[in-house]
Amino acid sequence: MSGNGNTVRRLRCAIYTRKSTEEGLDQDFNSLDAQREACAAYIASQASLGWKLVPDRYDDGGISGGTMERPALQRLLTDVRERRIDVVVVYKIDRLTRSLSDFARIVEIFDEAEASFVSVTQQFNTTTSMGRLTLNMLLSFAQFEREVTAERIRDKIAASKKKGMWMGGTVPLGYRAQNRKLIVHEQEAEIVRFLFQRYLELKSVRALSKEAKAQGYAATLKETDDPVRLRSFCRGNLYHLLSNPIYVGKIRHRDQLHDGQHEPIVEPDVFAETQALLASQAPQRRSATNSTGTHLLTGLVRDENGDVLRSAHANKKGTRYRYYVSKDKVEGSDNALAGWRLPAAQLESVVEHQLTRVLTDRAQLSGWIQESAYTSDVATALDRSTALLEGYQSAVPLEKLAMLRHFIQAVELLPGQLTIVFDVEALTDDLTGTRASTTGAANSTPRLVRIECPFSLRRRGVEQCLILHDRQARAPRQDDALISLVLRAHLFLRQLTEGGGRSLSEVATLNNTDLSEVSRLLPLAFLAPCITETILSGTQPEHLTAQRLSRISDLPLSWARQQSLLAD
Amino acid sequence: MRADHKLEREVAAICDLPREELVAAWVKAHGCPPPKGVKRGLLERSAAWHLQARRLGGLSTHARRAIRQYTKQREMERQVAKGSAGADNSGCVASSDLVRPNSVGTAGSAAASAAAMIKPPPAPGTRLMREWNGRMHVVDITEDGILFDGKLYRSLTAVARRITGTHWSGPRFFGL
Repeated sequence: MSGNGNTVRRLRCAIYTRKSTEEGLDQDFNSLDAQREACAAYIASQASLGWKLVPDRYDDGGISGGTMERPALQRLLTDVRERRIDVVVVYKIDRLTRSLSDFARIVEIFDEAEASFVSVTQQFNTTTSMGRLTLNMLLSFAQFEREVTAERIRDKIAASKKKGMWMGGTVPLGYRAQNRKLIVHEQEAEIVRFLFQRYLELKSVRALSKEAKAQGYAATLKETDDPVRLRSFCRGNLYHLLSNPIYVGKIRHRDQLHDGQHEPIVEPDVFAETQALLASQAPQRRSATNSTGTHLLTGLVRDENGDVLRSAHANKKGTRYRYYVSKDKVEGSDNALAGWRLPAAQLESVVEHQLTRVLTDRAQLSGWIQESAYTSDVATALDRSTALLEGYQSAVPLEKLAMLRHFIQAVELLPGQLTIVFDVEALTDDLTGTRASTTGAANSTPRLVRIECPFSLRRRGVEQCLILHDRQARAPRQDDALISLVLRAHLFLRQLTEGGGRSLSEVATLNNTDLSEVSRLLPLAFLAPCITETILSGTQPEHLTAQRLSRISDLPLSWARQQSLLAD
Repeated sequence: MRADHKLEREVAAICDLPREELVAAWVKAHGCPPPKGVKRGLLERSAAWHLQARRLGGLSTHARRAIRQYTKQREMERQVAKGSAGADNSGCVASSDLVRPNSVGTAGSAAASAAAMIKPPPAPGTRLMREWNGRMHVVDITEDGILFDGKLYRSLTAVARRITGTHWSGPRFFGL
């Protein structure tokens, strides 16, 4: 505080309050108000030193101190960064955070903005080393308490399950939850027994699903008004139901089974037989994942409704064709026209190309790195981006998948537009070497950059493809057949003119071909230079193929007209 | 390409020229008379191409180099084929069929290797950065040309010369 003569500098004070449980928050005067009142009184007592309360309230009700993802806290930190606040007042330190590493970050932000913070009930001064030591000790205990709490809860759950108690979650079909216990619901239990019985007869979950939906049972479920129940007869849910040991009176904890306190619904031998049948029908897998043709964007691609596109593939003659497909196209045949079916390789190449662009755009990268508050060393970070890119290009698909998931939050599809949402925070953290996971940055709101690529779908021969209107967004794709066509045309023209007047048929024999081929190709030597060049460099319009080019019977003489004919 | 009405009219007028004039244009452009029995369409096409090339510029150096490279390759293949065919003439004539320069495989790969020489120029919006003598030089590729130090340049090589004071290949200087 620098007093200039007698004038006292005005200090803008903000009060931050937090409470982890929502219990009692609906009371008129709740814990948050109590915290706030104590802080406000403290600020009033310091009025002679120029302390002044700002009108904004920073209250986080019902949010744990273990996370940084608290709206009011983030708002507070932003205001501090923008130097709108000089002093942050809290009731106790642990209101601010219970994690030592998060606290280190918060203090760093405060230091940078020359803001200080005060805890009303715990007196210390963070400007001295002694004060910092005390603070770190306090926080170590706060973190310890949090970890012990977590351990305690985990142990409690394990112990309860050992005793056979049901520990919550979705109530399985056939039961009702009463006083945190599972009670058999006779009507539904009947359905469960039928499902087990019928599966053993049908030996097919798909058929079972169909039959169960056709039966009147669906109506029985409808009465329960529980949307989860209504989905009980879908294939995935049936698999889960048929393998759920809860129906023989067991409680599962991780990979252990304990005898439960609830009544079984299914006979043990029926259940055992079901498990055997399920196991015998499960496909034999050599590895946990199919390493060939991994979908790199599984779970990332969303359509205009926010639904995730599914990864699908078709096999033909041993080749796997991968797609990203809308849910509707997979499930319903009634409305199969709507929705997306995008060729995976193309979509992935667009995304990979954008990633490459981001990692090689040193101007943009250095801007991002400078924005993040924890680094000054841009040069080494830029070197790392090159290494990162090389690492990506040489990675196996599963590693690529992990990297894409790390850097890309989502790929959003709209008709005519594809948006890739990059997590800049993750990227810059990786490049500068600040590990997001240890500093708790993973919890803070990620900085996102949206890269938009306008595109349209078009058929190119038999394959459907994405066309990006932004030419640079697409990697060049040299079409050998097309290039060969153009180069041969030029070869023929050269042989006609250079050898001192060869005839057309001489040129044909020179190249082991016939006269009609020569006459057919020669006009292509007079393509507009810009078209020739795009063909040679692989940046030709997406749908321009050798077949199309050689079939255009009457190519216009004018270059401008040639271009407009071939460009669209 | 902007529609140039005057040029468009001149191109259209080519179709009305008598054959003699088209032949003269061919001789002027290619330095030899057109092949016998060539269709009028090709003569028109050639005349129109060269007319437009005079106004708008012809093929780029890269493209011409690729075409020359391809022609040379095919020429060499032909020599090899002829040589082996000649040698075999004494013994087994049929084996000359084994070396067919026009087999699709060689044509495709030769085309690919010739075209591989061509790299597309950096797209507009690209920013190139190069450190030289302790200073960072930033170059922006725009639609109109190459922007460096507030001035537009036609080629990267020109920029490289401006920076270093000596002749450098621009793409090489900027590490493309």
